Amino acid sequence: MASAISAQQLTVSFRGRGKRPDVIALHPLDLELARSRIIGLLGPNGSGKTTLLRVLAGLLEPTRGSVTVLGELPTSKAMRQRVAFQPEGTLPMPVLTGREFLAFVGAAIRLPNHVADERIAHWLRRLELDGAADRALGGYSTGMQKRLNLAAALLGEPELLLLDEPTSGLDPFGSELVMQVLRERATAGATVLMASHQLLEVEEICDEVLVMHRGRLCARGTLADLLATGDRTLVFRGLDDAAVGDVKAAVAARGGEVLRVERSREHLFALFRRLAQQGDDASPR
Amino acid sequence: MTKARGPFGLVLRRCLWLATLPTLLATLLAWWLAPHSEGEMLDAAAAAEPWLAVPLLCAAAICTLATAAFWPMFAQGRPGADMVRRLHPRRLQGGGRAIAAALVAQALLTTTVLLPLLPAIGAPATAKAQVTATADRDVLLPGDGSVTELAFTVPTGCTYRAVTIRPLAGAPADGLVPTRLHVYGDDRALTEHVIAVDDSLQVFQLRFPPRSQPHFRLVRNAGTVPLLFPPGSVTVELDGSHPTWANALLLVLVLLLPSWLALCFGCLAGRVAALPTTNIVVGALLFVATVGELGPAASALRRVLRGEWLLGESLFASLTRGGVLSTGLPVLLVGCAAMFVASRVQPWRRR
Repeated sequence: MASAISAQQLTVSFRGRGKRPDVIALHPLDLELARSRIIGLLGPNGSGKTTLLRVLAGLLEPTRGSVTVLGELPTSKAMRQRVAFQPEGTLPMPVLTGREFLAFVGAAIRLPNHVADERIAHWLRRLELDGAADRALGGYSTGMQKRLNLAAALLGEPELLLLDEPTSGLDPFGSELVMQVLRERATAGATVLMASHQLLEVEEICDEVLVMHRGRLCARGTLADLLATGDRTLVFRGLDDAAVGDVKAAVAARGGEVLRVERSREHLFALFRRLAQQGDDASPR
Repeated sequence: MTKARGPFGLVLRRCLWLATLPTLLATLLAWWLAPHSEGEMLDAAAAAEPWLAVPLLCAAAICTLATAAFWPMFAQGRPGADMVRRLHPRRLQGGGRAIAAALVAQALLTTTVLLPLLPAIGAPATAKAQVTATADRDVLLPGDGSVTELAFTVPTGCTYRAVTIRPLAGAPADGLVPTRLHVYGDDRALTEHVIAVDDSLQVFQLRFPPRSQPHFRLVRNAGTVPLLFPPGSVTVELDGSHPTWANALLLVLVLLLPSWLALCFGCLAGRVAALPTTNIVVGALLFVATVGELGPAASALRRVLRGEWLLGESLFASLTRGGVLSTGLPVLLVGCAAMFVASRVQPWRRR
């Protein structure tokens, strides 16, 4: 089976306006990405993440080099359904309702109407948009637009998902929901390549990351490899103060160092969810 | 369940949604304000042309501008343009289907306006083909009586039954005596009826039994008013008639030409420009092609109100002798050329 993404000496440059020099958005890039993984694409603004995604989506021709996606050219007709691209930004045609917009996407990727309608209902429900399905997109919040955009990307059950900032602008619940859905798709065999600035989410969900800077790929690997320092860390729980003192002494005797002793606390997201739940209970609809 | 899913259905629905009410209101306004003729006076219904043009222009303007505003590919850098470009990767990226939908919407609205409004304002119930008669020489009948007749030629093979005359009148040198004209075929008068001209742009019609001879003469019997016959001022009415509803349907097609031109250039502008520029291009071209009378749209409405069959005596003649096709075809082709260029121009590569 062909790899999900394969690029050889992939280069993209933009012509400079007037006498300005050309801007090289992607320096020659060699890349081979396996299927059924969630891959994070990290890097500061202007590092070439979106350019790479647009090339893989077939929206931008490489200046030099070659690229294949699922074994075919990104611009080939079949890629419209096999590869989904979720660009950053607002959705087109804000006068359409959410349901109409998804129907438009379904027709464009040649889904039979009854299949499209079933999937639209499913994804609207799964992404918790069924209550707003018949409202115009212009009235959607940023988070709702993001989720609808993801629903549009998932409508064709693509083998490869190219996502540009899928969780930016989402509240923690929306973000968690999107992460769950992406995990499910990866479990079902889809490959996900997501550009993101949300490092914690990338750390939580991605099997592998690509780090870009100024159009170059500067690091690549699994999170375990990239984040490993060679040291070993022991994490204890449930010790009283006396036991902590004993552990410190034992560690010092073996040449180690106890860097920090913390009281255990809950995750901020868990606190957020608990408080929101309490709020819901206090003011029933 | 959603019915409209593609660019055609969505744009059609959007245009009808936005344009129907304003067009119907403009139609009511036109019906209320336009002078209603009783069908006795020749050309009387043509006086309603400026009012009738209002709902027609309203439908055209809303359909074209709504299409440009709705379909993202009519401008660079619109939100979600990348998504639409990927979903509709052909050269025009759905623009062709959007234009077709806008034209269909306009055609539906225009037909709805014209079919009841034409009889309501007193347009002739039937349309007759008119052919321009060409004069043999300088088309002037001076007031001094030095020239007393003009010979006109009608295309061969035409059977005609009336001559319509719209001369320009000059100031007489002596006292004003209306110039009296007879129409002669060969050596005898085709009708006993005589017309008397004393002012410019008066319209006269002389009817006679059907004849197919290619020549006739206008003979002055008396009068001091000098008359000028510019090209198109003398026409003959061919034998046979067509229902006005068929003429109205032809008019609907002609009225689509300005919108076609505007949208094709809008599509081209959208390759390199943002929405305000596209709107200006679309609006300006629509204005020039309708109010500015570039192409056949404005004159076609006038001709329908006068009871003239738009296709003339034949399709070929319409193409070659100043008919609606001879003025409409260039507009159609220029639009096609703009569309072709739009399909070849790649949008600017943007970061």
